[in-house]
Amino acid sequence: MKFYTNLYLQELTAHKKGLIGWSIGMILMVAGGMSKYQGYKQAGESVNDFMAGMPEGVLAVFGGGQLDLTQAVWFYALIFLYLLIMGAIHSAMLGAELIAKEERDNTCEFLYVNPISRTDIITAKLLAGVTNLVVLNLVTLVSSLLIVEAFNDGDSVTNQIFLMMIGLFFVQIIFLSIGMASAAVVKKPKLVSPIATGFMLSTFFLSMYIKIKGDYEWLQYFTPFHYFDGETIVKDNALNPTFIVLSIGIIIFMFSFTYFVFNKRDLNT
Amino acid sequence: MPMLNIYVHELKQYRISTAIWVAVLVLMSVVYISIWPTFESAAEATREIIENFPPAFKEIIGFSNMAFTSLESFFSLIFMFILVAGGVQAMHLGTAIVSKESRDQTSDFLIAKPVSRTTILSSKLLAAITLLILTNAIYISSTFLIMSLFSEQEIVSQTMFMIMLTMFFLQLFFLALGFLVATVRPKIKSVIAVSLPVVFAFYFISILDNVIGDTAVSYITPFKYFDFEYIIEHNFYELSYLITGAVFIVVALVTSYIFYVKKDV
Repeated sequence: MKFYTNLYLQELTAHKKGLIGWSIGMILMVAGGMSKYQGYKQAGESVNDFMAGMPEGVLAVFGGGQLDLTQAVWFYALIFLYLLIMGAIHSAMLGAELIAKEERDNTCEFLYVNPISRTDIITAKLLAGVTNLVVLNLVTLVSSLLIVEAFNDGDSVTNQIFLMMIGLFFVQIIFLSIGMASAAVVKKPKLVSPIATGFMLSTFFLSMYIKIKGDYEWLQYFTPFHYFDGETIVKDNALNPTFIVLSIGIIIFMFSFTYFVFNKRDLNT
Repeated sequence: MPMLNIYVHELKQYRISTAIWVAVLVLMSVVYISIWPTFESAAEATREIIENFPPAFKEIIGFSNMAFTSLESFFSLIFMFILVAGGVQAMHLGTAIVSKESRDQTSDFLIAKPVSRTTILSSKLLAAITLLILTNAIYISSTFLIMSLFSEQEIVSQTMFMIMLTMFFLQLFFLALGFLVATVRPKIKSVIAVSLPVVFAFYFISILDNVIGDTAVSYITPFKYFDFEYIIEHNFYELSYLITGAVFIVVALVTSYIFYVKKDV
């Protein structure tokens, strides 16, 4: 138990500086994005009037059918995409780093002579990773609530922000699990982070493709960025159950895969 | 002669990763440009509609550049994402090529040779620039080819070429930044952990540009140096940004040389 707790605490300390950096980044993104809203608020009203007179088909082309930028929460939904990207970069790199670090820095020997099983090692690292994600998520939640509420003069938006943060958390865990799974399966420790982040970036570019094309169909299942789209969450005031189930499936699969592969493989020492 | 040896060695070291990057960039072009035919047929009608929009609306939705009304504008929209990828490539290359020896603990071999540090860094710089020139040459020619497959209109234009060439300038910026970071920071364990957040930070700053005031912030991030709308209209780049970029690149590289010569490796 002692080794277990020690390893957990050691991993938390190792990523402390990074976590602080990412937290500041998140706060700046929310604050920066929402301060942009101020300028658009006035302009938004004339736009709303104008949009009211537009034919439906034209609105659909611009994805502006539902978008009411005079409301703070709609504007926040646009920024939310960037929060997702930041969360995804952070967690994919974290997942990869947690596992691949020992082999890359040749510290396997120290770690694996300890009287704990590999399963316990992964579990301790996984818990440390999740702790990091929770902290980053809470920082984002609190800063979003405070900052968006400050700009909001309509109905309360707490509920919608909570939903988006749950979505953010799913995306974070998905990419943490993908990062860890990459580390378990890729033999060269140096290649783990590039592969995990490369995968993450391709799903991001795919979601941009879907957004521009405006045509979802089967492609949407391949990009977690689409699962928790801010505009859809605000519009429905709910998360899409299909995507929640899909996310949980991906997460369970990736974590089981990590345990399974990592327990079996030879480590480069 | 040692300069040539290191140069060739570095080219070989990074040929595979460069090939992968080129493939990724070209693939992105294919995927995004494949959307264009859907809009091309309606481009004329869309343009008429957009021209009647109030300016505030164009500003908000981000369609002030009239995307979807011409291939140039549409390409400007999607090219932003390709620029992000290209930026990561260059930053990664710059950071990796300079910090490689200390990461792999092979400095002994390199430094033990009777070659000055300046020569080493110059060879690495030349190799990196060569790789970026190759990347852009292949990317630009393939993208012209892809466009001709997906669009009916006349493709090869100076404007389009100038838009695509901005990737090379942006990459030089991030290459220089990569050199700077790799020489100033004592030890880099994971290159991607440095290059990816830095490039994305610059990208996000460009999105949030008008928080502090448009012009001030636009000089900070290379993603704002090239306004595609301006290029489409004037067929040239904005000189003030070109100069800013050039000054940054020179300062960053000179600083890298100073640090690299002094560094304990």
